[in-house]
Amino acid sequence: MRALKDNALTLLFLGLFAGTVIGQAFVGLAYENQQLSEHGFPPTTMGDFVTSSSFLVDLAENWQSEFLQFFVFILATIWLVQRGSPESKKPGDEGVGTDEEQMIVEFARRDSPAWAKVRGIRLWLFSNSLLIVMGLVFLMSWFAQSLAGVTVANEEAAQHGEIAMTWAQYVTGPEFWNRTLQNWQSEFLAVGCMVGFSIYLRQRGSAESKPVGTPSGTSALESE
Amino acid sequence: MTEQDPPIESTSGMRFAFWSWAVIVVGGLAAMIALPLAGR
Repeated sequence: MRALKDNALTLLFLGLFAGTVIGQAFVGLAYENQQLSEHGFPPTTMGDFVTSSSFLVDLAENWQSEFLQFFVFILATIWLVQRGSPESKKPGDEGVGTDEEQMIVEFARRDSPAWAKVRGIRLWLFSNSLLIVMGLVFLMSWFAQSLAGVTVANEEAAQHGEIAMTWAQYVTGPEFWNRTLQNWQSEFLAVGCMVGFSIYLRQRGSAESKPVGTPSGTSALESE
Repeated sequence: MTEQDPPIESTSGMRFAFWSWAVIVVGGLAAMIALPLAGR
């Protein structure tokens, strides 16, 4: 029971992710077969559908925008602040912090991670590992979106007797950027709202909120 | 070394929380890149 309680956030989101991606597969298959039927083609199977570019392009375009959102948020909150937001450091704390604040090298604790204790490439990598991983997942899922997207676009072109386009033509064309920007705008809106709304609004008990009685001008817990 | 707080226990649950997401993301990316390249 202790293990379930200690990892409840991960377990909740694993369940939500599995449930929604399975749901997406079922309703996506139903929609795909509806489209195929309207064009006089036989229905496809679940196995064929979930390994097809038409399923993967939708998956990838949502993945890339989510990871971009966190990449930008992690990067921006190093250097920029929003006074009063619990998502932000307090004004004056901009930047990467001192070795003492970051508990690295001579300021490391005995139980600090090994890569935090010695100066060099490992310290640099570990110091930026969250941003690097989120950025790599963003770039790779955006690339995946382009690969699956050009495959789907060319399948549709073939059905209409049009000529296929190259990957370079696809990634500089309007469909790729329409799929991309419609996802990006919603991510930036949501992050911006979270930063702005959390100045004056509260959720008692949530790690994403300031305590209810915290003055609205107080940015983050560390500023207390 | 600075003054010590009580050590934070690294548990198998924490490793599960990290690696379960890592496996999903790496597996998903591999599939999303390999399948379109294979002409799916």
